[in-house]
Amino acid sequence: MTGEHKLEIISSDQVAMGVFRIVFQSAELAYESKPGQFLMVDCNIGQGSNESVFLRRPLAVHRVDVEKEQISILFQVVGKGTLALSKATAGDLIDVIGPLGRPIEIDSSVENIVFVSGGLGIASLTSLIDVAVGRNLKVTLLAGARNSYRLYPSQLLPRGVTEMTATDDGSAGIRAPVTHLVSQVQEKTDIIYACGPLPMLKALSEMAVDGTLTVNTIGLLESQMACGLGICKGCVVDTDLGDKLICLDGPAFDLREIRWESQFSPV
Amino acid sequence: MILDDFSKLDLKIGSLDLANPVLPASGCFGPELGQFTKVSSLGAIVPKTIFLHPRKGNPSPRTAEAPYGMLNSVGIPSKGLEDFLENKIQDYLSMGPPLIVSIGGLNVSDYWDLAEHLNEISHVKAIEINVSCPNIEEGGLEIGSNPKNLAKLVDGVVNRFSKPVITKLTPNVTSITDIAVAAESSGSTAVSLINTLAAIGINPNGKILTTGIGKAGLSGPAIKPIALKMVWEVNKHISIPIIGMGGIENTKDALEFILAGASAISIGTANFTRPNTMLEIIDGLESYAVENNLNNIQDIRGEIG
Repeated sequence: MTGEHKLEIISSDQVAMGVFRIVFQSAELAYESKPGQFLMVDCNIGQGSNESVFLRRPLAVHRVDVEKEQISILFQVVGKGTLALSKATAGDLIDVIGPLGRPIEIDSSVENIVFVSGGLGIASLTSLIDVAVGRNLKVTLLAGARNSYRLYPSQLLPRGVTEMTATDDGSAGIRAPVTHLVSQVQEKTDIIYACGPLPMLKALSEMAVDGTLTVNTIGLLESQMACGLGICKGCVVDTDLGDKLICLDGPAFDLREIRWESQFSPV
Repeated sequence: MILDDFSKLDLKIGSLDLANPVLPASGCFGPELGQFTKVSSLGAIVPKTIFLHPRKGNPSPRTAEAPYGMLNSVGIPSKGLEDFLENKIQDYLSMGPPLIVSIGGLNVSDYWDLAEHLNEISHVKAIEINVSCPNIEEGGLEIGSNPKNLAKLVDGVVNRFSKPVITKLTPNVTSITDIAVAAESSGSTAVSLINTLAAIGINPNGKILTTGIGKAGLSGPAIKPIALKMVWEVNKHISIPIIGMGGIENTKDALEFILAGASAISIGTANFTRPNTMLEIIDGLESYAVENNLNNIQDIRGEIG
């Protein structure tokens, strides 16, 4: 069940530029973690760090391997928490609280499914992609990144995923925001799940509101969180249904319901 | 050591009987914590501050890392008194320990109205006045930053609420002692201190502040020495009980606050990172009292050199 766990690191590697993957051994979390869920990770590893990281960091359960009883996280080094985590190695113990957040269930009527990933959005989407592929759905991934070095490696995706890419510099796929690919695939799509930077999600929201995007689009939101448990009220999102917390009510939200104008001041 | 019977920890704050001196700090506790720690063992239950009417908090981002602590600009969102009584109070009451309701307001009459309403509810055993709210009548300054305004506020609450009243002091003042004295002389049963320290964070990539509205409150172990000093100072000038808080993470920290003069202590930010902290401290204080042959942990209160 959801709780505090000390997990042993099985492996840690860099899968793209500045993007790290850590695999943990944990039967409990492998059985309990569902797509959409996340962990609050204590980034203070071992005794060697000279600068402590005070708050835990919310990181999505990237993938689950029930057979091996392993789970993984995927993160980019963006600050001192992720920097400390990137230095963890096999054998280190990491303290996590989880799994947290509301699991995402793909409706049984869905046959064609599209995932839109901007940057590290893929970290949260992959476990859902694995479920979709396992169910033999037609899966398309639209992956965007700054450049080809930062894209999640295609060979790590499960077989059967059709991937289209977009980069800011054109080093892979089209040279445009990843949202430009949506129009090419939406006709045959039952639902879209998107995760990435706020401007990307906002662009999809606007497309949904102005009618360019007609498919039901679910955004997986991310936020700074102090607790991840619903207590600190840090990860608020303003929606048509009132204020919601990403940690308790999310991370999945219908993008049409988000009120961007009163929300998410730029960081 | 796990002790089931914390016989050396009980205390009284006015007419309020507490099984032990370890409380959650308002804003850092909710029913969600129940899945991680034994909330029935706490000294009291203190929910997030409620306002008379619903109010939105600040835009996100609302929290940020700081050295040995965190910044928050949550802005005390509240669904109001009615929602609290209809949808939330039962969860808190079912936890067992006495319920202390933290109240906030944007003007004096909001606090007074809340006090009057809550006085009628027998399950509410005490109230804590959160005076770190912007006072609209005074140009947005914290209502607790002026001894005269605070005395008027507390006096009005005490006249409308016949059970213990705890005034939670803001550290963002020239002299917290003057404010504590004002709280005592206007009828406060106890004071709690400190609330968060006013602070900001700046993103090195630009000029934009770390949190949604810029202005934030700093909490966590970074503020512990300041909080300790304020408790120590205030204790020399008042005789009502002090609930000490500010960066307490473990039994050692809790003992320091008791030595500085606190009768009880509250845990705030640590609940976010280590949800079982309060229980560990209750265990730790009982062990300390047993090992040092104290009749009660209160025996060392204020026993600073």
